[in-house]
Amino acid sequence: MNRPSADETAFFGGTPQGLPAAFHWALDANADPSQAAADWLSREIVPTAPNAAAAIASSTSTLEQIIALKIAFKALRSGAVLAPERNLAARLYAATIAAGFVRFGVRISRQNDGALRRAFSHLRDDDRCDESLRDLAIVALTRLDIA
Amino acid sequence: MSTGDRANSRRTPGASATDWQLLQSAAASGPDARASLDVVARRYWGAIFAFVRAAGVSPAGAADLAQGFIADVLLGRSLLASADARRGRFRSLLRQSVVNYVRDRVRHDRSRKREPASGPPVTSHGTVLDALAGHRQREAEHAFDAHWAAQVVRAAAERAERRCRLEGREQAWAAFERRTLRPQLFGDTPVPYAELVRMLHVDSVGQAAHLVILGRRCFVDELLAEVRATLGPDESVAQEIRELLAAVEGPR
Repeated sequence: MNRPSADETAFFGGTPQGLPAAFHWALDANADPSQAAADWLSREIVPTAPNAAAAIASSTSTLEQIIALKIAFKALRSGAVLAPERNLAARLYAATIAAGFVRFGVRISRQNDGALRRAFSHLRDDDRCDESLRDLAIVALTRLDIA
Repeated sequence: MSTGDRANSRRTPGASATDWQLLQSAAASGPDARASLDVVARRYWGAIFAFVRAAGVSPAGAADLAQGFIADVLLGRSLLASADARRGRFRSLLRQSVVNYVRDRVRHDRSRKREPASGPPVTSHGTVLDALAGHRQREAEHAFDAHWAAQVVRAAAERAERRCRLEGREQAWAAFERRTLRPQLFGDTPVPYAELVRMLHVDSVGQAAHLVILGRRCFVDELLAEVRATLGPDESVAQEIRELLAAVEGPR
């Protein structure tokens, strides 16, 4: 056997500082792949948010970030292979629309009132979802009824 | 990638998928064994070398010892022949084999030192390895594990890139690589999302972020597969990941 080159025996360019992130991702995904994907996606768009619920419910997230989250969760829902991941993405997608409604007074979806009411109701009734998102759904349903 | 493609990529010795099956292949006879041996030796060279260097041996002496371990223990097949998933983690098995090998060499060097002046000369690493005890051994084992962890990440990245290409997810890989992987591993500046949107020909930051995460998921899937492939059936993947994480995070 030939000896590997020095490059092959080195860390990535001699700097292993970024390696822990890879193993943190692996731990997240090993514990709950659906939640991990949603949280990673949220942190891409709202870097200060610890997770998806915080990104959507935070008072510091901007409307642009909420819209980007909505698009991202819609894509996550469309590409989901497994039902738990599809359901989680659907709830988070609905939550972004609710956040647009409640926090900015803006309708960021072209869905009709009936479809929105169903989506918000599912979110409100899903006890696996974060309380802050279910609260958003409750307020959004009220606003929808008033409008 | 189809199931068949995945199976083929894992059977190819040149692929990075070193696992218990590859170790068994390397331990066997036949035309594929030599190629498998080369893959195994190349894959573990870095960790073995890192161990010996951290034990205090000079670069040249460490290269000799690493080469000696590979020739005597790996290529000598005694280790590969005993490599069995039921024995647990291959990382632990290999690391302990390196510890034993270095200790044997220390004893051997000591016995040569006691020979009369007319006897064979003392090797350059002999006196340094005399100190292989206590904290020195722990440092060396830590270096081995850190290098092992780096190799796992590198192999996972290679596998994920190949898989993304085979599955037609080149955009996802490009997005993840430019936005996350290279910045994390090589210190590159992350490509800003506005540029990523243009590069990927998508309409929005949300779509670009989704592609970044698709690429990351592919990478993480392969990372988990890499880790699983070195474990026995009763070993915890999470525990192994935590140990690898501790190895790359270093002492706190």
